[in-house]
Amino acid sequence: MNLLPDLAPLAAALRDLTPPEPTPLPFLERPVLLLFSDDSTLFFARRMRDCLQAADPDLVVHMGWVVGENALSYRQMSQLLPEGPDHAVHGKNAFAELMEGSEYRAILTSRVYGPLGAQMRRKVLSVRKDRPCVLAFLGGLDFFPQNGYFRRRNCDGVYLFPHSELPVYAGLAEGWDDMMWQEVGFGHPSFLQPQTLSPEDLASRRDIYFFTQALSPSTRRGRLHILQALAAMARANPDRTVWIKLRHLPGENQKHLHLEKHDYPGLLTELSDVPANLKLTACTMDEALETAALGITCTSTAAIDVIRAGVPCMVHLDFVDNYVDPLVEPMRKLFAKSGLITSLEDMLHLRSSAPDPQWQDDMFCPRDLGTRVLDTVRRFADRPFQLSPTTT
Amino acid sequence: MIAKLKKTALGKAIYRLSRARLGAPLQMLSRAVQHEALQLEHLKSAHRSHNQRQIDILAHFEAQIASSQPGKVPRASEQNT
Repeated sequence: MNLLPDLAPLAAALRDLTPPEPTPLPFLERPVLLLFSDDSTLFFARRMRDCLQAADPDLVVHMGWVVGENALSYRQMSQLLPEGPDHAVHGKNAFAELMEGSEYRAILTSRVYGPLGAQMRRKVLSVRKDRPCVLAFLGGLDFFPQNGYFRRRNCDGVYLFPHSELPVYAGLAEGWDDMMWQEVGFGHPSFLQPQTLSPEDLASRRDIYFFTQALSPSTRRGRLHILQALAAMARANPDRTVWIKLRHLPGENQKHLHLEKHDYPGLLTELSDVPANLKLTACTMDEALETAALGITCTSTAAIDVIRAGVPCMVHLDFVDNYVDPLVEPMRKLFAKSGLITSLEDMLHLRSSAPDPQWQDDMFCPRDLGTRVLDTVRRFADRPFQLSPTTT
Repeated sequence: MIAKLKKTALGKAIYRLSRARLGAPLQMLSRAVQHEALQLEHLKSAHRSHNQRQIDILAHFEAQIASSQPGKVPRASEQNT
């Protein structure tokens, strides 16, 4: 005689209480995840989100914060993404879980994080059916891009610029022996074909922006000379405001790859008789470009944002001590055919030129970037030689 | 030059010494040698004339502003020339 109670109904009741495993959405209905961890990657993510939503207004885009690599201050987080991230990528196995899960159709990034790169090198994962498609873009203007190309070799899609770099990448890829399915495209959300501003709009604008860069000019006296030049421009144009656009406030971004040795707010206090229309700002790039009549920079990739917004741009490389600045020559090479490299004399007299159209077409991609990216993801879903997750 | 030195055996030995308990003076010396104002590049005549040209352009511009705005005192950079 069995004295033990029959546990079967209890087990059945417990089974009913356990929430069922959520059924994954069909691949092409899943959200897209955009990764970020610092200001550069967050700018990329925000712009990529705009491109994707322009291509498909119903597409769900999640912003994924890579917590372990965070270099954003709370001020920057609040300013650039007040609504907060949709997904926090944290923990030792975060990338493995993302790649083996069926939550996303694609992961888009402008930086191949170490653990993500490690996942992408796994052959068995590479051929896995139903995993997200990983698309890597460049981090921005890269003076020495070849290392970045190598780090992106295992991604499912690589989007590059300028267009003339695509054959360079193809040549390098021939020498890599661990390549799997990959599509190479042209573009970056910060490098979309420029907008055209109406002459009336431009004429009504009074703001001149100098976009600072952490590393250039590299010396203290080089920076002081730039500040003196900006002060002189402000004095010569009392009806305009000359803004020194800071990328971050002093003391912020101490974990950023590029650390600033001589900050402009500190140097400005050393100038005597600073004109009232020479001001500092830590506003966002988009805010600056809404009112800018002219954008000036030395080696900052901000030049690209200025051109994209249809605002006249000057790349000034003749600053004091430019010969000890390692970024000057690569910047000069990249902008050699742009027609935008401006001498100090032309800068002081506000004599700007329009970008060379051929150079512009090589550097800036068509505005349908979001559509092309989603097409890459679609083709990824149909790639040959896929292995069902149950067999991996 | 510093980058090249770092890769040599001597460079590595100096680095190890600088990390030792009594390495502080060596670190101070290293910082002084690498100071931005002490770079040999500053001594090249082409570089000195480049810097002077930029200073002159700015001074000339500031003089122009001062002359178009009577009563304005010339800037420091104008007084250098």
